[in-house]
Amino acid sequence: MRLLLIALLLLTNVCFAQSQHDLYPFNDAKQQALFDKILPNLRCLVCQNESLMESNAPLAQDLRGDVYRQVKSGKSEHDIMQYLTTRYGDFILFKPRVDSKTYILWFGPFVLLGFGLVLVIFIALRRKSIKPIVLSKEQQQRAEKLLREAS
Amino acid sequence: MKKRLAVTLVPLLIFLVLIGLFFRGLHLNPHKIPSALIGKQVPEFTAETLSEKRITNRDLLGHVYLLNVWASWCLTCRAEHPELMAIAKTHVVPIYGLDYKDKRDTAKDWLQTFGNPYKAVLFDPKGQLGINLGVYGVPETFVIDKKGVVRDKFIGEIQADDWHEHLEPLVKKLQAKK
Repeated sequence: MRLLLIALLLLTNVCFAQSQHDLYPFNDAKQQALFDKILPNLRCLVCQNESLMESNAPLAQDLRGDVYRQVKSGKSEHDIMQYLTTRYGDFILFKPRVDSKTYILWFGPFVLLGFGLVLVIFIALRRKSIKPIVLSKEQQQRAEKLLREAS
Repeated sequence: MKKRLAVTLVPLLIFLVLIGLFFRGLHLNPHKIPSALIGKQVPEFTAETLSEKRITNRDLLGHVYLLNVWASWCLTCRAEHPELMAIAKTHVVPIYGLDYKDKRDTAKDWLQTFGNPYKAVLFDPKGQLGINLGVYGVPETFVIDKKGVVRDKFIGEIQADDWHEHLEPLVKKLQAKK
């Protein structure tokens, strides 16, 4: 029974993947691979948390068609990305590019982490340098007495 | 002691800067994506107008103009329409239309019923021209200068205030330039 269910699930998955391929057929496996690689990395500008692969917004459908035509005409990944980013900006990329505008985004967390580490080490070293307090005999007895009273 | 104060204050400072940034982020509209074409040439295009004439980006060189993306199915465009009519009436700047993913007949009817503020309307039934210009919603309005460089893109409905305070001054400034 379980096996059957798994088989069924796998089958629906295959059907789903197949439907995308039916809508955008390629003769060339390389172009197919490029198309499949590019789309999930592009943001739909209408429903902004969906990629062009999954979104059903009309604009996403148009852009999918546009990417399809460009891939079919033999354009490279770089050309297509260039075409889209000059028109829609870097916002269309799910993964921001590493350039001077995004350094803080890419490296900021590591800088903060480094800063935190330095701070922790600094504090730890300071603690170590504090000498343990040595009590005299009298003080020791008083302390024990106080503790006893308290309990 | 002073050193210690500094060490305690630095994280606080970083925290405050972050809070400031996040607070600013709360008030930004993620649906207003500034055009990547600002400061760049309008992408080359050849289009057919609603009245079936050919028009290219080169035909529009030499004067400042607005390019308003609209559609007869777009409600916000309907709301924006009276303001476009008012702008057209002032003769300050010609407005070209881009009829986005529309049907020719419905678009023509729309203009006949409500009035036509456009000098010409580029017809884009499949939204290809729209993609070429980086359009992601309607209405959007480009401000394009004499050399065909995109100077601004207004996203959403232009209201009287937007025209008087923002677009009109920009248009006049661009017209004054050589």
